[in-house]
Amino acid sequence: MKTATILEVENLKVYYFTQRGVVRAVDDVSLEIDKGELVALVGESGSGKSTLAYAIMRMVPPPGRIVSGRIVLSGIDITSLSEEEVRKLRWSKVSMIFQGAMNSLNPVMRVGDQIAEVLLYHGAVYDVEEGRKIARELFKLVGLDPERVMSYPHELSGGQKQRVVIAMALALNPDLVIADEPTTGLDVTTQAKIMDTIRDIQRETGISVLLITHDLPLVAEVSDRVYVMYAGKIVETGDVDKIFYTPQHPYTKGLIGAVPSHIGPKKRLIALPGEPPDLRSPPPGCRFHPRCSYAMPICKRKEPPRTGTGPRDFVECWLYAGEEVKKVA
Amino acid sequence: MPRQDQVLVEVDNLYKWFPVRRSFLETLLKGERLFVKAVDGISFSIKKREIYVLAGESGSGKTTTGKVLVGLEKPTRGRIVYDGADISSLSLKEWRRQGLRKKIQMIFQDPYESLNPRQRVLDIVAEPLIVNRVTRDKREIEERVLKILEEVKLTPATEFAYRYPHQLSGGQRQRVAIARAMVLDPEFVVADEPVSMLDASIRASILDLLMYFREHKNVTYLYITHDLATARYVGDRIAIMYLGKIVEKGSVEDVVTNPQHPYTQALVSSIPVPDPKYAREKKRIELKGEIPSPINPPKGCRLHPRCPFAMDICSREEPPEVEIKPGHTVSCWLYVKR
Repeated sequence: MKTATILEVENLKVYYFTQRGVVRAVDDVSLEIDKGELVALVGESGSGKSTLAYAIMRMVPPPGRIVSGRIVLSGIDITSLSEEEVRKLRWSKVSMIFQGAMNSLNPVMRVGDQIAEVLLYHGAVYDVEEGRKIARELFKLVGLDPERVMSYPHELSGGQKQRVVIAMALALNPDLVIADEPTTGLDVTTQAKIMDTIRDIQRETGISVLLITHDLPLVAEVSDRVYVMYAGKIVETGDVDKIFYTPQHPYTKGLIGAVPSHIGPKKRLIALPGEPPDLRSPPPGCRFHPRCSYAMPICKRKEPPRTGTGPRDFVECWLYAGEEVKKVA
Repeated sequence: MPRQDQVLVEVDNLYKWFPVRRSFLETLLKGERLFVKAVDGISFSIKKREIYVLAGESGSGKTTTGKVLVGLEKPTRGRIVYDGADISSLSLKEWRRQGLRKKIQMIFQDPYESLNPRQRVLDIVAEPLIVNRVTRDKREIEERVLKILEEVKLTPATEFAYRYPHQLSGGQRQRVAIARAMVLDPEFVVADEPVSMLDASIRASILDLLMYFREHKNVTYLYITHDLATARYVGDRIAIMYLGKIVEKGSVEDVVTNPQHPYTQALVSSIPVPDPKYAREKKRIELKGEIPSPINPPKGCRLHPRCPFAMDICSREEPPEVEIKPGHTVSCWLYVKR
């Protein structure tokens, strides 16, 4: 039996039309997530990973715009929905833990009431008292003392505030939660506990999670499948073991080789040369070629073809293209 | 070249307490003054050409220690011996007269905040030469700046020198910050989380740059971090701090791969591992609750309210420092033979 696909992104393009040129932040990206999966989207700053998340929330800030492609969420094509209709889906079908959200809680409102407000707005409860009751339940789920619903944000630690934000994202029981760097700015021991909580809830409730991060070790710890994004494109995808043990794309290999580990023999780190490109004028051909140590002449001229077994297991790199493909190119 | 085992910096029983500001009335009513005990009696020594790591989470006192060592804060108590001379009670004037401003430098965590956005790279890197009155000759200043920019691999230097920080990436900004610290040929550099704000793919190259200055300019470092994986990559020896105290000390390899103190064990087991199979099987040592306030730290061992192995004595008496193997010490009652 095939499990239900919660999210399908097809050939999505999201561009920012700035005065200094068009920024191709998401450029022909496809991605899918099944019910109950924890999928990681890995990329560096400027790779377009957060823009992709905003597009799935239909919250791309101007001058950005979805140029083409489709986003299908729980069977509904949200690309063409009106703002009004999208508003009903946000939080109830898809919610997001924004980067640094714990610092954007309303400082003069009890945290429980902030959750009750979300519930009230979406008509899930009739009054604040009922909303607080549900907030208490949610607090238990995310590992907070239910009495904390009466606290103000300044009375909570960073880790506790992040748990409030997670509770808020879960309030309307969405099918998909997008977590954008949910643990940056937290201490290592707190980070580990927060990720455990997200993973446990995801397993218990069967919710799907899209984890957006630049932190590879974190991805190795919690995710089922991984998409690697570079300069607006998905360059490689596969299940977590494949990505870490048999990576194919030179960028994926480079990222893994550049990350130190505290276990195993001490290895020499190999830094990736250069910096990610400006997405107003990405390099022609393969966007990674200026930083790639395997670059061939063709990489500078033509975009690499996709090779692999399907939409969940592929690499886009000339090294893996068959000879006949190269000849045609 | 200096001898390998010569000590450059010795920190002996260092304290840094910050008074808690209270109203006059509160002081009258509550009596004794309160202090944030950021650094509460720590000792360690750094050898010449060593990269010594000070690791811990926020609130451990590691950054305060770094600031005391570069003279940005005055110690409350304790001794700092630099290259054989006691510098703990020097006035600012004395600090400058002895040339310490030139010999000791600091690299900050956030290259987005530590560079003046209105200055060109040339002016940012030239500033230490000017304020320390190294030279007034414009040609010489420019030459020295260009030379150091080449060394931190901001090439072509003549181009980067005339850019502003907003025209640079995070990694390039941190190279500017390193150039500014290195332009005076310092002997000792405190690097406070120099790569934690940077993308994974460029961290290694910044760390390599720090090691380049050790190899070629004999720079000694205090490397402050919460990231034990990068600490292992650059460091020689390490001290783990918790709530103002050092709980474990030793070679980086010993402490990170074979941690002994329950806090170090919790810290090490919390680090995500870039190895999915290992990650699925690893057991984590969890601490209860969160780090307490440094105003009234717990009595006895400071970790005892959170420690999974706490015994009676831990809440009553501070643990002694026990050497479990040459050079590897741990402050924990579990290792005291009684």
